[in-house]
Amino acid sequence: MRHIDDDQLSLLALGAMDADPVAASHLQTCSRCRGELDALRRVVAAARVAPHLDQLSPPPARVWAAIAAAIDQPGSQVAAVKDPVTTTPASRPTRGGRSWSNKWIGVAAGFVVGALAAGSLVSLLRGGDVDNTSPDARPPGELTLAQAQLAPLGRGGIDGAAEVLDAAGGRILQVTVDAAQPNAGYREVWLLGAEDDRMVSLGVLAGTEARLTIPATLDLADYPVVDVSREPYDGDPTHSTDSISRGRLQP
Amino acid sequence: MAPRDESLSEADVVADSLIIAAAMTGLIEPQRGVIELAFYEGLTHDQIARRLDLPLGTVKSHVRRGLQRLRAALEVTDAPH
Repeated sequence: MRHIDDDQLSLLALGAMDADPVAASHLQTCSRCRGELDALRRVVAAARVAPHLDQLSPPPARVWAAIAAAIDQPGSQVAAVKDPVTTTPASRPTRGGRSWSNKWIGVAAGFVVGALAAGSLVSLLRGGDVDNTSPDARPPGELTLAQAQLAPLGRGGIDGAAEVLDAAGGRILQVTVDAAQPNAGYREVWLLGAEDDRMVSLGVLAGTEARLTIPATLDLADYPVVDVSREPYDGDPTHSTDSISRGRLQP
Repeated sequence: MAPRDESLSEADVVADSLIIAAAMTGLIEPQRGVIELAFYEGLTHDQIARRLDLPLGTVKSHVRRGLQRLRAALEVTDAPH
């Protein structure tokens, strides 16, 4: 009996078509075709788990130190993984007798090539070392002067919320977003004019929450829109134009 | 022994997704665009061909080879040590 051709297997794996009766019955009996289909389905499932994992930030040095310790191969092993050349499957170095699985070496390599982290894994790797300086809750006695729901914008956009608080030292913009890890670079919070004709940078959003001081002389009526941008480390302090979350302040 | 797919732990799935994400960055256009439409929008070959204005045969070839390349990335890391 003829095997299912690769194009049809691809479509089946992608769920773009259902197996016709002939193919379905063939899959029942042919372990080769079933194995092929399973392998392709695994690829598709993995890709769909996290569709935007394409801009991973390199992990900090301490992560590499932890990896080196975990595999009991300080120095050389880590250097090999950090070499971008090793990240293509064909040239990834083979390893024997190591306590660390090849899969996770591959994942480590994936980080370095610059793919973006699934939140869960990033949290895992960041461990307890997450920046704890961002506030968890609003200090008592602060009044909310205005608030905004922030809606996702563009690829990798995220939900969030912003509040203007009347704090002891002046007005604070408290921004909370749903996803902690920047895809690359860092995130910056801006207040924009209603016509998108002017903007003020309030500061950096690290983690999922930031409390940023609004200049005392700034009239929020002139800058009613809260914007969160993704900023590369390119030495250019102006807005990258890559906004990921935005919303208008309402009293 | 259970088939491999059924034995994937949650950590394996996360690892798979990171490997795939890294491997996707190695795909060149238009193959990457073709694969992304197939993955994330679930389009058929015909629909992708129309969307990207590419010949059907080219799309089929990109889907097939792209998937195989990503699969190879997973299997490299599957090798027992």
